[in-house]
Amino acid sequence: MKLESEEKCTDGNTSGAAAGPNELAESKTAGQPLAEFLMQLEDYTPTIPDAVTSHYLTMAGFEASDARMVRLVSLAAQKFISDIGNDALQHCKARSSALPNKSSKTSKDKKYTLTMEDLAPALNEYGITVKKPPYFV
Amino acid sequence: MAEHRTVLGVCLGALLTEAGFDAVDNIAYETMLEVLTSFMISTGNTARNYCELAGRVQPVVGDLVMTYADLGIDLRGIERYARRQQRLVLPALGVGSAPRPITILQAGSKLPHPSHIPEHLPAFPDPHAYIRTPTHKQPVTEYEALREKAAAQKRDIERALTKFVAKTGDTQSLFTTDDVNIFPLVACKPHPQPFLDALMPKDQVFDEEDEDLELQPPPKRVKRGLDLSQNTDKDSDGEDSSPPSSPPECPDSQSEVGKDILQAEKISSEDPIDNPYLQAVKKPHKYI
Repeated sequence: MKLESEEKCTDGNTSGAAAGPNELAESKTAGQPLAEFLMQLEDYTPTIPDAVTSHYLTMAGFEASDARMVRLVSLAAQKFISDIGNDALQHCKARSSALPNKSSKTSKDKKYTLTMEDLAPALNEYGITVKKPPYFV
Repeated sequence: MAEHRTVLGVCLGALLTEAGFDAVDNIAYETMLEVLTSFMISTGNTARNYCELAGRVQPVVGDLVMTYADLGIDLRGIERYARRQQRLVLPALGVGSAPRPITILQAGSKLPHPSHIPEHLPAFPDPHAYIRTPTHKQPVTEYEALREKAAAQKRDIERALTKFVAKTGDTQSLFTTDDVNIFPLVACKPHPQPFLDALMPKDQVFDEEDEDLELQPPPKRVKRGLDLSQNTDKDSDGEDSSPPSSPPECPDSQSEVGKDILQAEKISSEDPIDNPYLQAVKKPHKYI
């Protein structure tokens, strides 16, 4: 059952991939490393608890029979958010380094606050467009 | 529902702290939370679709792979990410206990469910909330008992009333013994014109007091009437074998009546009302 699915997914990857040949080759075998990775997830606890992830998956209709798949989903979500956060942090650092007053604290502003100004371009790179009106307190 | 969102928010905070942020705007926080939620839901949805497309019911890893490829999410560095050093592991969530209903104000033990009610339904409230016990005995409704009660009440009322009048009002005694109180009889008040009641029948008696007051104005006539009657009685005494109590009876009654008359005269001469609030209105002296 599992081998069949892997074959199907590889077929799907070859037909659906729109990237260059290198990425095509990588995505062609994306199923295998992931399947291997799944085996390593037995004793790994992601930050997001299993109960929360399985609740949201059940809400969508995904009946998670294997606990490892739930952990895989939560890990993927974590990685996604971390990537966005890192991009936003880079935006923030670039913004703060562009400011003229370097004598304020050390060379970099030690306290970084995630604002919509940094988050919006970070999300845009991932295909999520957010337009929020500015709130004046 | 909201609990999961709260926990997810906590995890998001941990992830952002890992990334290097010290603070986060509220709007940005809510936006990221929505992103995270929709990520998981769309993953689940798409994976389910792929699974059903393949004719299965339970999703497999391959479905997840297809899902991430479909959503355009790159998971190439996931293994490296999983093994990152500065991972934050949040403390395990504990199951909160449901708040127990307050048993401080409990009065009495709760009744168990009757047989037709399943056990998983909530228990009955305290019995005083819905059970009503009357605080008085149910009244007797038997005809016999009621008749008996009514008769007994009537008898008791009559007896008590006559005793009261005998003890407070005028009494006559049929015996010549010293103790007048053995069998006191309520004194009969002779009406000056007894034939009036027969000639002028009344439907209702409005004021008893008016009748008593009418008795008072002609006191002298009563006195004379009694004198006459006394004489006639004395005359008839020698002939009839009347009971020995009657001659002394007349002077007694006469003396009693005399007393009443004297008292009435006294009262009429003096100020009858002691109560200053009931006195007649005195006009104030006119000042210039």
